[in-house]
Amino acid sequence: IFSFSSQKSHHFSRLSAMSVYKLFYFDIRGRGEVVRQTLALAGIPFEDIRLPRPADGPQWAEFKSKTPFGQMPVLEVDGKQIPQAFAISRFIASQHGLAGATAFEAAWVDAIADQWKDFHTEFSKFLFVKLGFREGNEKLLKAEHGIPSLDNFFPLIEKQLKETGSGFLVGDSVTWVDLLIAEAVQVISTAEPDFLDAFPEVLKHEQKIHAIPLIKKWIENRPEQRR
Amino acid sequence: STMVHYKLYYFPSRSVAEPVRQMFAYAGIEYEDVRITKEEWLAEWKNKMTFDQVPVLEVDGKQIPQSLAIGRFVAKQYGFYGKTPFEAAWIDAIADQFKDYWVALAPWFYVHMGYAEGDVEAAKAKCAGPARDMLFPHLQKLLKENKSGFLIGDQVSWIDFMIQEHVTVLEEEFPGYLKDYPELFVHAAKIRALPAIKAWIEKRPVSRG
Repeated sequence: IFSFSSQKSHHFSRLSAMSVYKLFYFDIRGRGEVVRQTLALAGIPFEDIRLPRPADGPQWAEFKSKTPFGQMPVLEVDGKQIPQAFAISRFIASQHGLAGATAFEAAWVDAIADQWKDFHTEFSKFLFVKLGFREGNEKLLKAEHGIPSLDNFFPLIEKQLKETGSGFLVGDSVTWVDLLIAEAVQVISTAEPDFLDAFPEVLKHEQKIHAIPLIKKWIENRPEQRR
Repeated sequence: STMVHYKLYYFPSRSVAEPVRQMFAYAGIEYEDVRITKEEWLAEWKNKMTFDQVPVLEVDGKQIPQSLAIGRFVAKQYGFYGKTPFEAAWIDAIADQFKDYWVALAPWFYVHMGYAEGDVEAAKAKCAGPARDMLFPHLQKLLKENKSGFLIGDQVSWIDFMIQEHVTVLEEEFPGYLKDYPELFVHAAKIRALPAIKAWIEKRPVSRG
């Protein structure tokens, strides 16, 4: 029906007892990457369906009305759809021990994720211009939105990492918000190499999360890495 | 077992704290409803709150920030989070779609309420339609498809309280905005009529939003 790239992940095993997972997103990391990494870390085989961006073809225009909210990512589980990247990530994570060990820890995983989202809403006003996704005055946006939002958010993350002392953001094991933050740090560090130098724990965290074997393997094999 | 001691910290308004207050009311859970004025916030409270923000829910002295994290925590504790992981995921998805809608609406909303400077008509022209399109067609579809009258599943959930509170504000502040979505008014009236919610609405402090 559509011509878009799709690849099965590497952990294929006995299908009969397992649900069938399909993830639909654009052929970028973006909002989909935390979902892909959560699936990878949970060891769940999934079809990683990547649609070309709207400027590159009609596929999204055709598929959009078939999604619950006219947006992606969408996870299809045995044919039933779930929209919204954080809802999908939490759905997978909470069934695979990746959403905090207690209800209180799960709330902190959620709180950090939403604090990141608020940061990203501001920061992306600068970042998307820097990355060439939109027009704008990069220098002005960096001063008015980039630096202030960074200076509001990353001290909280640095403090949180010092407090847990485990190397993870919440409790003493990895959760989906570790994947979210490490991905964001990688994106920011690639765009502006010195931007996070004031946050050594944050930078160490990114290294640690991306060294987790299932995540390391995902990153090495993802399409973006091979371009 | 000993009862959990809850304190909810927010400003003297409903807004993002109200779904939590409504869940506590519905479940019959006692909590301290701490309302902080703007003057008190800067003078006394801001640096006591983790993340320098409210709302915060304190659970036996330990703080949780961020309204959706708080809402989900309370929802899970007291049965407002669906009956299956799939229902829970859809409750979460609606909460996040509401947040995205809110970000799109805020430029107009804040100017209208007097929280920010600006040209209210220009903001309305830019924001009102696109924001509405992100959320209300989808909620309308869910309500049309779900015979229970609730948004997800067959019992009241966290996002029923969240959406009802906001639709109430829209009725008060922007009459006509949802004229193409009558199902949302039926839903809001149903939630407001739940006995524990009706009782809470009658006794809660009055605020504009």
